[in-house]
Amino acid sequence: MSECTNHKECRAEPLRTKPYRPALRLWVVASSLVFLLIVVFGLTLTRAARAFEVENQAPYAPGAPSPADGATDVSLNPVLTWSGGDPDGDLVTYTVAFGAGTPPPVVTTITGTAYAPTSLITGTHYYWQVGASDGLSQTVGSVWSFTTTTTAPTVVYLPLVLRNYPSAVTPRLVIFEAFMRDT
Amino acid sequence: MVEQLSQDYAGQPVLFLEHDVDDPTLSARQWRWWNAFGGGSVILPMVMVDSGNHISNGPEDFDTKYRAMVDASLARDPQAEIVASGQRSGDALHFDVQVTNRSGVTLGSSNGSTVWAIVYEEYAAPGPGRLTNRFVRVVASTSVSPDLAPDATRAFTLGTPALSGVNWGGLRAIVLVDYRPAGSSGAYDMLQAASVSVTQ
Repeated sequence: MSECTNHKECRAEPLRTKPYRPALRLWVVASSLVFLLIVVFGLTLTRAARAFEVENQAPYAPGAPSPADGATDVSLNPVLTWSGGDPDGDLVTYTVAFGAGTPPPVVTTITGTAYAPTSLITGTHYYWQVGASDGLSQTVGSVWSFTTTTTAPTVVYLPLVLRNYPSAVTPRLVIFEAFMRDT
Repeated sequence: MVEQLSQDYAGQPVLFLEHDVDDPTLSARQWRWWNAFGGGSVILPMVMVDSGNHISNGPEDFDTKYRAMVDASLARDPQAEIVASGQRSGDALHFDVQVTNRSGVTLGSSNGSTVWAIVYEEYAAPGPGRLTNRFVRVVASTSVSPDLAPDATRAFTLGTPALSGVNWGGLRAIVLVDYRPAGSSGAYDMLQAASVSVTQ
């Protein structure tokens, strides 16, 4: 309390008081820290996810088809092959679509790069398409086609020689005859 | 020696038979071979396979020679089909034989085609004076006449004379058909043989 020399100077000063709340301050600080941690953690996750997305690359697009796209006079027992693979070396599965119509229906999913269709018909236009997947990403190749031969397969009947016809049932019985004199 | 071969070829279609060279009842088969052979000296043991198509006589490397003869015959194809049955009639045996000619040549009297039945006894061990376990008792034969064309089939009947002193329970028989590939001369050759079950 200061000492006053006159009335004006001796006015009373209001008493200033600050409420003392230590728990509230601690809560504010803790909340700020938690918020900061959440923000940092979220940013870290986001950055990691972005990094992961960048690291996985999609399989190569199936290419180099055999028979070549548009091939004709293809045999009735072709083996369809293509190039594939994955830049990351991931295991790739291929979904093969094959048929006489377009789009061709999916017929199989395999890990190899060859497929042998069956029961093909002469003089027919066939379509096929291969999709590659490494489990995370998928790449679909172009639709390829070929036309089967118009020549019916020639069946060659080899002559079947039944030279040993009876032996199929009864083999030759060998008779060994020894002419001897009693001892 | 022959019994050892018989054991070695067990399970294969080979039958080892012993003829008594001095038995006159067996002379038909023996002498027919002799005539085809052209005479001359023959030293025992005389052995033939395929009715004389392969023969051996006198001292030889028996094991090697006999095996070679048997193996050569085993490697050949049968050239006839034979279906036969045998039946005892009194002390004789009667055989019904059906032959289908698969040789590709006509069988007949011009090439000495003959159907044979050989009856033998089978023992568990060589009998007294015997060298093998299968000793021939009697043979019977009939000519293929008239001709039997390729792929043709004909039935034949053969009968043996009355047998005496045989062990009927041990009697076995085979039938065979043979001919002379060269025609009226040269060695005979067997087309096929077959075991016959004898009903007593």
